[in-house]
Amino acid sequence: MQNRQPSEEGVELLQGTLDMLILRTLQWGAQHGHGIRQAIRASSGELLYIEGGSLYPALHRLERQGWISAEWKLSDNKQRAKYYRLTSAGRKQLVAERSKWELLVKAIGRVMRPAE
Amino acid sequence: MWLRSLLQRARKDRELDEEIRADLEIAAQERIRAGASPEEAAAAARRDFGNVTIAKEATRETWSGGWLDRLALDTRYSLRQMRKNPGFTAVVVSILALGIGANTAVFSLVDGVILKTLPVADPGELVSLESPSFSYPIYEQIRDRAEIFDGLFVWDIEDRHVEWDGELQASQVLVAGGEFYSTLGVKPAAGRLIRAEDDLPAGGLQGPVAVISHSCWIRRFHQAPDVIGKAIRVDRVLFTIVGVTPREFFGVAVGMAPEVTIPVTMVPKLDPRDSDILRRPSNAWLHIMGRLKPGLSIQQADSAFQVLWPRVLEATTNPNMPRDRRARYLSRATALIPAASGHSRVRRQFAEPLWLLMSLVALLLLVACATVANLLLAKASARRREVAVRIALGASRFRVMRQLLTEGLLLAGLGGIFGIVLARWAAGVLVGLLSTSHNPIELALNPDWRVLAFTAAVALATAILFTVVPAFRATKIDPGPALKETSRALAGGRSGWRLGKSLVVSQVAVSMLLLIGAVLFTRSLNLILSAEAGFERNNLLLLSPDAVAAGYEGPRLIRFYGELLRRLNGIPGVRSVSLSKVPPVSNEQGSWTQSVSVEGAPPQPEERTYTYFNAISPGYFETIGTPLIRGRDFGPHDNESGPRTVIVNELLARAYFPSRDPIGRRISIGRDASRQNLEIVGIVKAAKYQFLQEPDRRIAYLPYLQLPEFIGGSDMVAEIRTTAQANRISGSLLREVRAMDRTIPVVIETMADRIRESLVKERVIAAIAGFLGIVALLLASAGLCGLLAYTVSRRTNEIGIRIAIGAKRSSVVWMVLSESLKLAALGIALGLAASLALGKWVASLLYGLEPADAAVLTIASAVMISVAIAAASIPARRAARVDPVVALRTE
Repeated sequence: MQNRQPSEEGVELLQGTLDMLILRTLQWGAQHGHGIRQAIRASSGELLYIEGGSLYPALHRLERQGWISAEWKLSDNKQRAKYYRLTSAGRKQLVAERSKWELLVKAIGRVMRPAE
Repeated sequence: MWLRSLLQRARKDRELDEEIRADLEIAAQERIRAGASPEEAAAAARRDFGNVTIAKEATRETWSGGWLDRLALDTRYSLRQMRKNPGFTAVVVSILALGIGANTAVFSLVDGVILKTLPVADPGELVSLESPSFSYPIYEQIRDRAEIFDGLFVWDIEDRHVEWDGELQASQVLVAGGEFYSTLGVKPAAGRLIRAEDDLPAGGLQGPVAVISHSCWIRRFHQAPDVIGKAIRVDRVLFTIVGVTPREFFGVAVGMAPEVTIPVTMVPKLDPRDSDILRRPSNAWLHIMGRLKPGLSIQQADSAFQVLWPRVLEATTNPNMPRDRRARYLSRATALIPAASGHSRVRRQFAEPLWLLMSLVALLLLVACATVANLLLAKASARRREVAVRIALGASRFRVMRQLLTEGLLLAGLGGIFGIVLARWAAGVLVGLLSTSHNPIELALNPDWRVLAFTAAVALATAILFTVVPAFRATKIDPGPALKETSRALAGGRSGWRLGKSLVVSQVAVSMLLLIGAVLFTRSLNLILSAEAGFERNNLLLLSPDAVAAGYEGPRLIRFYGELLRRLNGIPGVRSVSLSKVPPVSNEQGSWTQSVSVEGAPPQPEERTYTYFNAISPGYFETIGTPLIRGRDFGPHDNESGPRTVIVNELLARAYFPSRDPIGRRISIGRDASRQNLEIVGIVKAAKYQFLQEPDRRIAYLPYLQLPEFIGGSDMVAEIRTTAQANRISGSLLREVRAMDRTIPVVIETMADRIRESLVKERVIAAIAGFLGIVALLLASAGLCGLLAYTVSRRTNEIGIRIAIGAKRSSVVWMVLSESLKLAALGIALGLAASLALGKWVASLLYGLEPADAAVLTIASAVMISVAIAAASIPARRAARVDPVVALRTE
């Protein structure tokens, strides 16, 4: 269930899109939940704030589907945290999602283009 | 498996907690490194994260193995809730069991009588010939010509006498053609079954053989294996038992389970009068049934059948038949109809009342659902806090509703299981009530898949009915006020209360329907019982000696009747005795009609000339108590050598002799030469002939001694009028007949019993409608009482204030009372409207009154109003006793 409390200034994300972003983020290496949130925030130029209520269900779902795997490790400041990693299946899934996304963007772009 | 997932779940919960804690820690650490204080860092991290509880809930959702896991969770939770409130659960389950059980009971009867197919191989291929009966020659013709059948047989169920324990007892015997068992595909449970080789005039190789039913084997022979080869006497023939039918097989007539089956070719031997019954085309007494060749549809078979049917009729006409009779015979129509569920007189008799009962119990179920919904609503208000907390913490409304629905399904499921047990017992009782000695009903009532499916469907519908709407309302609460402890908030808000009111109103409305039904059927029954019967029913006994079965016939039989009259008259306590061919209120024993013509009277259309007849002894009218209006009764001179006489009832007299005196005039009956120009010697009052409910009939009476050829082969019934104190006289009567001849089977009953049995349908309907009406009233009054108590507790403040500022206690009582009356009035109005709309469906089952009878509706309304007042009394008293100081203090 997604929470309904609006993020301060952000853009609402569809569930599938969030999955894609998580996979993309993990492409650069294993990361824990907080780290993934920070990474998405940073690489989106502070536009995308992902709340815990959206992230964690997505992470656990992706783990169940087998596209990411998890293990408990010690973080930099000796905090025990759950680190997530992309699996090979996840890598393939990312490629597929990406091409779907680009197709979608192109299609929408065409529709929204100002009249020539 | 369960345990493992439970442990896994606990572990996952812990891990998730740790994971999220770690997240917050890491976020806080980052901020601390950027210079914030630990408290600021922690707070900011939490804000940044968002709602932790919701995150945990949402993540847990993704773990569920889908709906099965969630169902298990909800079920466990519901069971825990139910265990915490055992009393409440018991009440709800009992009400549901009653409602569901009643419906299942009636449905199992409907299933057994109307829906079930015969317990034979491929019943879908079976067909029978439409229209009740056919002659044996017709069967032979069809058998020889038809290619469409993969087996064709005749059958009939007859009232014969079978010797059990040395005594001849009246029993129903199945008479079956040789192909009966082979066409149906029935295998014996022991020994062998009747085959075509046994169906010969003198019996087959083993002589006359018989087959007994499984229950007969158990009941009368104690399942002894040596029953094969035993001899059994049916009427005057000794049969050898060769086999036993399987347990579930009862024949092809639903509702009847004859114990003995004999080949049809043995019937001529049973009764000398019937010695050529198999050859006579005019005797239509057999049912014909067959199995179609596989792959043949019934329409195809019927068209083929219609082609050969005229030829069959042609081949079986009697060359001596007069022309008009021959034309009527040849124009007889029939068709092939599906016979998968057999043939059933019981079905015809009881189909309508059964559907009526189904509607009545369905109404009861509605009332039960409304009651349970109200109870759950009341309980839901008590659980408002729990629900509010769950919603405040983010549980979706749908989620909570799902859990409430699961609870409802569990309750309904439990109610259904107990309901099935209850139904099994109730259905047995119902069949027992409907079965009479003249018309016994045998039904196998074990629940089959249809009944179980029905119960499951009803339980499901019930659950949805009583949970969905209350669950909807219950979850619509605003968590804020509900979490605070004020009684006003706890009392549920306006919407919950209004729902409770409408539920009670609907309870009252449906209860009104059941109440009106109860009053209607009870009154109808009373009208029948008190209707003018035309004779005196008290102190009247009927004695039926079956001398024909014991071998009497012709002049010997007539002498027997004369002797019987003389000897019975001599018994002390007997005021008068008479004999008649047709007993008063003959019921299933039928009627005797013939056409009548009168010289000089205007010719009437053929249907109108049909008159009912009876053959009687002198003293008949005095014995049964029908007044003689004019002329005289039969006497000793009205015998075989005297002039032919007849007595008519006033209706016949008025119809044929409107302005003249009928005494001395002559009427002719049918075409028989010996019954032409009979002199009318007396006129009697109209009396009921076959049923108490029948419209008046024209009846003519003939002296039995003037009909020797007819009476010489007929059973007559003796009527005995006793003095008031001598009702126990049947013992002496029996002894007298035994003294005459020990072998004659005798049945004795009182007129009152006979009338009671003839009205069994009406009595059972009235009893059940009455019972349901009372139960519905109880439920409705409980609903009203509960709602009013709730209202009073809700408005305790208001009442306290009112009393404090000077209102009289009586006005408070009136407040409660008027609330009750308002609700009841609304419910009564709705119920009346519904009964007017639905009334026409039951009109055919009523006697002497319309469904919209004003007196009945008024009585029902009055009863409901008094119930409403009674239901209001307890809450009203409590309201009147409110101590304003206490009320105002407890906020």
